[in-house]
Amino acid sequence: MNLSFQWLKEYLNITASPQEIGVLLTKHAQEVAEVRPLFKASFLALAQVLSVEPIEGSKNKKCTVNVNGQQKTIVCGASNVAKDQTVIVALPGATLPGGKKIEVTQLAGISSEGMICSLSELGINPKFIQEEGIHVVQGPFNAEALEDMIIELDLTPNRMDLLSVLGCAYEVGALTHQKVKLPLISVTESATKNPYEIKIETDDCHAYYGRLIENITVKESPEWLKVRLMAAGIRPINNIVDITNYVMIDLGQPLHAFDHDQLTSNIIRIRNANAKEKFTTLDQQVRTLTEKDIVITDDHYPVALGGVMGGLDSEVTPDTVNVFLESALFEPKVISKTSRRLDLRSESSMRFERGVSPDRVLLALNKAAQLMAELGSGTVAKGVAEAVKKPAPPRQIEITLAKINQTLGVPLSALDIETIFDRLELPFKVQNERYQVAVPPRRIDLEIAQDLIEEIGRLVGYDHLPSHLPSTVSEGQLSPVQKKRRQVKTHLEGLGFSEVITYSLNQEKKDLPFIKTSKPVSILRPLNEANQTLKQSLVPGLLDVISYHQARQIEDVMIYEWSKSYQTDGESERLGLAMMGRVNEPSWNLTKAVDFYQIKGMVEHVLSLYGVEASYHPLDLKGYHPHQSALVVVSGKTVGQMGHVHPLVLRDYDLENVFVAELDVATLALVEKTSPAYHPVSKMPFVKRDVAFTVPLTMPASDLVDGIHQAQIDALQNVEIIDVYQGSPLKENEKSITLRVYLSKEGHTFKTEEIDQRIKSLTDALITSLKITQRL
Amino acid sequence: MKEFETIKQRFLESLSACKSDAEIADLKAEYLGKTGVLTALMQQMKDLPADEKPKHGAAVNAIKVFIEDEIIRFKEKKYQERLTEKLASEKLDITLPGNQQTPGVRHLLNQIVEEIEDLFVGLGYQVKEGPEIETDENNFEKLNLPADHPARDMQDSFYIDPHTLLRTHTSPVQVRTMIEKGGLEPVKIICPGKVYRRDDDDATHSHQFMQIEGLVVDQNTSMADLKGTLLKMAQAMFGEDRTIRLRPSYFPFTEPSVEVDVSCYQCEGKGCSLCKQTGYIEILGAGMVHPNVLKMSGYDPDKYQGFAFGIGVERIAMLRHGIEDIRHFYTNDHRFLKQFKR
Ligand SMILES: [Zn+2]
Repeated sequence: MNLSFQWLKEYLNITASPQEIGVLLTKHAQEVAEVRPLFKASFLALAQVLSVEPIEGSKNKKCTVNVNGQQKTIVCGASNVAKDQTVIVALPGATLPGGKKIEVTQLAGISSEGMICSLSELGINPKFIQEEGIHVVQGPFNAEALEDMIIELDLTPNRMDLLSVLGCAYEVGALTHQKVKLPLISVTESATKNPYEIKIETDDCHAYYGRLIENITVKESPEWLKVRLMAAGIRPINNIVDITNYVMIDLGQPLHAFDHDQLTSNIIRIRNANAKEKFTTLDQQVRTLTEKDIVITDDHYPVALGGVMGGLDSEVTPDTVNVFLESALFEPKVISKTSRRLDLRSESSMRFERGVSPDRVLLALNKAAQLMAELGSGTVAKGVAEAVKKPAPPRQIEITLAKINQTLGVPLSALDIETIFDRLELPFKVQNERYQVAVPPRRIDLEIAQDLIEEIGRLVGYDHLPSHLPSTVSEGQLSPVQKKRRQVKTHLEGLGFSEVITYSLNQEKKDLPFIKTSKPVSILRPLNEANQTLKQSLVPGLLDVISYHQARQIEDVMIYEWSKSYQTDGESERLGLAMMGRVNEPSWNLTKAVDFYQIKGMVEHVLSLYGVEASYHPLDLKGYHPHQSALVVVSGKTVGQMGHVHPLVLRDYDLENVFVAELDVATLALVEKTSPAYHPVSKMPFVKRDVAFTVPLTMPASDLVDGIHQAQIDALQNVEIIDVYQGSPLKENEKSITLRVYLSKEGHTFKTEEIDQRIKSLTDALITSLKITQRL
Repeated sequence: MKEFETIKQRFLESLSACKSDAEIADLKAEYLGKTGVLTALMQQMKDLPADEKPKHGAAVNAIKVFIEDEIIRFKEKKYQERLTEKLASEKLDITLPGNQQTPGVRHLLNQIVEEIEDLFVGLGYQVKEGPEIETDENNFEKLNLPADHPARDMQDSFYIDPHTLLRTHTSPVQVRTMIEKGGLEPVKIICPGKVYRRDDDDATHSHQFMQIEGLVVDQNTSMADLKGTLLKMAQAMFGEDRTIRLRPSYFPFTEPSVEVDVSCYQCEGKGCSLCKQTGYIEILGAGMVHPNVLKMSGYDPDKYQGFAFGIGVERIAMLRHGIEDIRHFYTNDHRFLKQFKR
């Protein structure tokens, strides 16, 4: 809402400055975005053009003007400047928008004492300007309007009452302790009887009033009216349209003017549209209506889309002589739906959908009719045609002083409350500190006790509330899942991974290589093709980040993301890891390229934080290298996958050699863990022995380890794989694996023979079960 | 006993000439061995008168101890000399960088989330999380936003089907928590998480962002409690000296509703370009929980009241660090992320 300060002053005696009112509104009512002058220049004055003389050899003209009784000479280049015009001049000392300074200058040997201005030179939005050249003031105009200020309010949807100057006046009045001066509106009626008859045949229209204004002249509006509309941000068109807009801004009630002579009868019937009914709105679009829309008909044809837009055929044109003026009350929800469906949002529809004040419907009609007669040199026919449903009685809200104070947390007195209700002009009754407020129609936003508490709170000023913490005593702590998440993240960062956050929406096809079954969650109206489904795997997002870095010559990247993945059967927390390049920062003496075992080590690290160990099985997912990837299984449950990303997938990202892992941390957190019992630390020394075997190249090392455990050797504590070797003198299809075996037994010191005997039974067991040879 | 002194003298000269452990061993044998100098000296004893024997024996023993000590001392000295030489040969260029594993960093948004979580956990709050795919009922209807509410226009959303959408705020977690508590006990929670709105991405808009909402419901929770809580958070986020300002606003789920500004930390409230000359910067929305919201989640609004607030994590990060484009958070450029080490 652009509130003209001078317009506001018609309702209130304001001594404060517009800026001060702006601060008060922001603090106590609604945020003021800006307080700015309507004409963005100082030293402006009205002037009468006394004479215009051509200057030889120039298209400029020497103008003599009268400014407040003083004659001044101004050289002007505009072609439309003429004797007897009233114009706006910027006098020496003025600064125009864009920084242009006005001073006395010599032009063609003539001393020019200012500038005759066009509206655009005064900072008026070009969309409001219909003319070319300097601005010629039409009709009566008070020079004070040149100094008007605009208070631009950012309104929240509940304060529809501030969508009018009168509504703002009530608010500013409450803030400055003043009562609004309501102007008396009297309509001078002619002898002609208003011939119209109104019939409401829908539940969606609550009141409809109409007047006939005859013998008017459609023409340009007087200056004061045009300036008011420009201040409100509305483009002046002609006197009839401008008056409907003026009254709408003034009182908040949208109006519609029909060309009386284009209506085919004097019966106005308001009904719901028929399904698929066609109607041409005044923007020349053919609209297809539904039974939810409201149409105004002249008994034969629809002539307006109720509350949204008029029809092309009955529009007021320059040739219009007689006007039928409508002021009505429509159901807000219906207007909202219609205007949204047809994408016809206007100042009118906005007011209707937020709810207009029922007590101003007739007032607005009369004010506009009277103005039309005055500014269009016409007459208002006798009487108002109307159809009005019984209005609801004023809403009553009850509230106690105790509830007010308990909610705000501040001890207010009964007098405080009553003063505030008076300032807001809310009628109330009080008994035993229990208030009953009768809500006036202009404040239909006030529905419940809490709405009144807000009125009181904001008028008292939230600055005056004390500050303290809730007295509720409760235990604050993170859940075990949240603690574990933070611990794992901290470890990963210690290992060199940085956290990334990527978008949840992507494309199903990017996930496909990394998931077993696609069950995508799709968005009904995606913003674009790349944002159609929710991610089912974290890997594509990580690859995108890696690809971004690769493209910028950053080739060592270790990242993780902790995020949900989403499928039609639910969303679950996952951890994704991705590595490319070297493990540590580029170094002069140590570089280790990422490989399968690096990422596997990271996975093992994470699993150890969950207190679990996994087994690794061949993985069958298209996105992974067929021989450098693994399914991670814990206690028989799949908890993730990891490995080298398949080169064909990486090619789409312009990448090579990226290793990733994706773990289902939600499942990991649920894996049953038995907390291990305490064992005293053994005082016995360990015996270490290394044994090497020559095995087929394809044999997994885990077969040897498993084989040793199955052999159940006495005193065996642990087995480690300490070396894997391929090459001479081994055959091409062979490799050598060296194991380190740890033996220890409580209360026993091993003799060499005892050790040898155990190692022998161990090697014999492996040789027999795996058909391999010991390498000596 | 001049002879003894001469032996000592001669031994020391030989010892200092030794070049290796083997030469020292030979020298030791020459003096202390079975056929060595000291054995010969001991043999002289039998030719001495009885009263001189003990004195002679003691003197020979003293030389033996002397020689053994000198050998140990000499060996230690030689060892230290060799070590010094070795250390000198091991001189490194200490200015070359170390072989470190540079730690990674937590994403700035999660750093801020954790900071706020820690603050509120310290104040006795629980951290509650919930699904991002929500029902229309939990995301809108139970928050006093029925299907035709004009405010739904304020948050155009990603629907999955007519009843399911990506949550537009973390408020549904509040609804879920209240329902879980059955309307019978106080609630004191914060709810961090990802939320989604159908906005085109630009420098100040993101279709995905992070939010933290807070909710306290009890029998006497007041707006003054809300103000104190928000002041504490503003000071934790923007510095001890900050003040806050509450302005009237509108949210369908709270009544009264306020917009909360923090005093500008750049100009100390005097007015600058950051605060658009107002001295204040808007940081969050808050209010007293609307009685309809309490009712729909099983709390009797005549017995219970409460406050709620919601804060955008990106906004806090952008304000605190002067970050100019919200898309940086989701581009994940290392050179951006690594600037925010804790
Ligand atoms: Zn500032």
